[in-house]
Amino acid sequence: MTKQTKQTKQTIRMEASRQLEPQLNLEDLRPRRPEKKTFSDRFMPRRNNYILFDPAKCTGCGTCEMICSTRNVAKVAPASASVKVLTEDRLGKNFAVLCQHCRRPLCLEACPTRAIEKGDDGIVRINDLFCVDCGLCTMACPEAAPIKDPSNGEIHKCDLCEGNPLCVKHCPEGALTYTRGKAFRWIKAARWGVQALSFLFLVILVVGTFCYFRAGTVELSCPTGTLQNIASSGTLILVGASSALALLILTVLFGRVFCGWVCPFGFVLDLVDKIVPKRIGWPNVLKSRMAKYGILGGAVGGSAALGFQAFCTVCPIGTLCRSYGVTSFMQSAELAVVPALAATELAERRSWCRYLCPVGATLGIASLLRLLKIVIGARKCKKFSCIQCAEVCPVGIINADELREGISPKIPMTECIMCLRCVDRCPYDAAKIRFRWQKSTPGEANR
Amino acid sequence: MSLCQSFYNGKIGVVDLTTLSAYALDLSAEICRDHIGGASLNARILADYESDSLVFGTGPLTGSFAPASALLVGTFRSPRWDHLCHVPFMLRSGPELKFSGIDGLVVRGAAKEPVALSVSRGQVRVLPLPDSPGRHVPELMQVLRRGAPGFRVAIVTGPAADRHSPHASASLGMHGSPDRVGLAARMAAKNLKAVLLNGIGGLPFREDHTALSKATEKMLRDSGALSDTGFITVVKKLDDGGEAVKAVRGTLGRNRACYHCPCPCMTYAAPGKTGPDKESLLLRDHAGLAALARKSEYPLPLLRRCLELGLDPLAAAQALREDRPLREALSAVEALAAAATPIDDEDYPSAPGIETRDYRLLGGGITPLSAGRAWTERVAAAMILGICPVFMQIAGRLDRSDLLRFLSPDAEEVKSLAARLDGQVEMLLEGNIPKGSE
Repeated sequence: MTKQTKQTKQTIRMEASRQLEPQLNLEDLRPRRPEKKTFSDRFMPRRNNYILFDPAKCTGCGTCEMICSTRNVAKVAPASASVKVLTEDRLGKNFAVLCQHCRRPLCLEACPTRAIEKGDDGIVRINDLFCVDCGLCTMACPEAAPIKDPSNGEIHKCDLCEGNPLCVKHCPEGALTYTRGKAFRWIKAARWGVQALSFLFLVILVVGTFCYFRAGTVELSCPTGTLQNIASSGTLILVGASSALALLILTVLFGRVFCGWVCPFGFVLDLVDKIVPKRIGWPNVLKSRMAKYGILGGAVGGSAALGFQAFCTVCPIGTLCRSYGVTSFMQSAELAVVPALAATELAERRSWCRYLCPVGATLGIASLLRLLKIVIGARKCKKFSCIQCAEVCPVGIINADELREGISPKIPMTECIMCLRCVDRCPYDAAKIRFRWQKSTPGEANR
Repeated sequence: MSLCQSFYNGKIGVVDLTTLSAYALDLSAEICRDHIGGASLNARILADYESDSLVFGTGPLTGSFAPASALLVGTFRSPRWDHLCHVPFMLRSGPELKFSGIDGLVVRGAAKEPVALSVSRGQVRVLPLPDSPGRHVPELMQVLRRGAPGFRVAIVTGPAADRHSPHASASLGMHGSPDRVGLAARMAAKNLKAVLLNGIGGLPFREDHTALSKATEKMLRDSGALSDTGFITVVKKLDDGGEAVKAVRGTLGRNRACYHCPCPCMTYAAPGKTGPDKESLLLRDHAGLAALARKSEYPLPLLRRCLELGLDPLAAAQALREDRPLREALSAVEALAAAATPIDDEDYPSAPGIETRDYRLLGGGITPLSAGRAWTERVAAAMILGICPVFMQIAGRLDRSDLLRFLSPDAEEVKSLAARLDGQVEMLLEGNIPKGSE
């Protein structure tokens, strides 16, 4: 057989084998960008796996590094571990740097080769096949948790040992705890319960209850509506004014708890939030929390000029209570107001409450006299990259950047709706309710 | 498989400071067979070089899953007492040397200008440090961080060594060390200001080591050895009058442990709210602080000054007159750091119930938590195996065979290793290890 025939046969064989192979390329293996949340995920979010770190217990012995390196490189080589122990001698502190498996991992966004994926189990992993060791993930991570191995330049990142972290098992001081988060969030359950009951009472059972409610000698009314009423009629009716005080007193005692727990339109917005597929963002020009105070002023001024309660005709809380009950179901043109304003949820969470609601503005002014406040103690917040509190805050008033820098964020209580999601979610008990005159933040006494 | 193959890199670095040259040598199989490691191996290596040489070495268990496997031993022949002295260094020093790719470092000759040695990836480099003499230890550390970034552990000397004080003490970073026998003076004589270790490598481990480590820790926990930890617990055992306990009360912060140690015996203290005292101080030297507290009501500022000067706190306490004002006491410490003559005490350093010669031979700074021959043998065994000698005393229930199980899973071999260890402890305490011993 000639040499040429041999070569031709070999080429034909290779071609044939190529055709027989499945048509797979690297792109098929590359992790995809996270899929959209499923419907069930929105109502019953999956619990996230992560490791809690207690710096008060850490002695800086480095056992976590040792044991982690045995899994990464099959050697005792602390420098090649996915966890790093830092000792700050001047401050007298020991600290472990390890991946928090964030809900929205910045490393995942930063990876240019899409080598990082967040699995269904919540674990953020690096796919070695695609990782080019560029280190952008390390720079993007607030914790610098993806660690560059100084011996060979590879990037190592905690993958929670696939659900059985060795560092947790071997830490002699118990400074590391593996958790899947709180199994039952009682504040969340209570809030949804109260919101549903309020909706049932204010909207379904009794018509117009939020705007005005009377049972015997007890009278309750909307404070913003009362303000407009006074402005439009030009007379101060003491009975009407005193009936509006109930909500204001509640606000002084507990903050804007009405907005977070009672408001039926807030409940609608929270439900809409669960089904919003993608947010489009609130226009920057309208992004001012002072706008709602302007609307309140406009509503009162407009009422004075027009001679009737100007805002009440389009108030989503009022229309919801007036038009959607069993006795008044679908009775007027007001019906369009609620879906139209609920659509603002497409822009940002509770954007109506953040920027537009004049009722919230009235309560915000009342909450200047509040007795309670929410504090987040950076000293107790042991992992500044966790920022779950900032992620769950529906009105976006917790500054994640401050937290990442280890600063206790200042929470503007005129904006806080006291939903207590931050308190409920914090795994380190760093978010607390305090009296307004209490100066200390959680963790300060332990210093 | 020999210990050399299983627990060592099989290499030592040799530096000649006279010619500023460095090279790596294979650790001979014969030496590995005859000597388990640590102080014993150091002494054997030193026997091959000039008597003024200095050897830093590790034990077989250093960096392993054995508890408190943190030890690095500096060995040299003391001109003052004319016998070998072995100075232990803890925290992360031992593992960093071993993971840097060499098991030991021999320093020969003397440099004309101050230098630092940087060990990384199995190589030793000599770095000039022209403007380092006279600098306080924290300043020197800053100079080193700028000049040789990336190192993880540094053994340094301070101004006390530059001024040829016999009570200069080599310091592990800013934390001091148990050196009370003149290692710093020997380093200064060689113009060696610092040894920088960067252990970015690693060593293989035996599969059963992780379980063995966990079992050992559990045994210690069950026996109650780990129930009380922290600096203050250890100091209470040394401090009859309770002065040291009183002095640090209210200042203590978090505990600190050496490499893979389940029993933290060090604690951070922040004595003041403002000024230099606001910075934390790692309380490591139990005997030193107890001695300073007996002499002065300001032991923490005095300890801080000793660490800045690279001076032995126990010697400083010996030199102090009782109950002097702080400024006067600080001046006395400065004067001791500048003095070229030793304090007038023939028995210095010493510990109650322990032979002075043995105490000096083992560095003179290991916290004496027990007395007599038991202390000596236990500490010597720890310094051969590469385990922290303080931990060996605290973990009273921990037998040598518990540690030797990390070297071999075979019970018979453990027995044979125990017999060899006993022999080497004897030889170590005799003070001289001849070439080709055993």
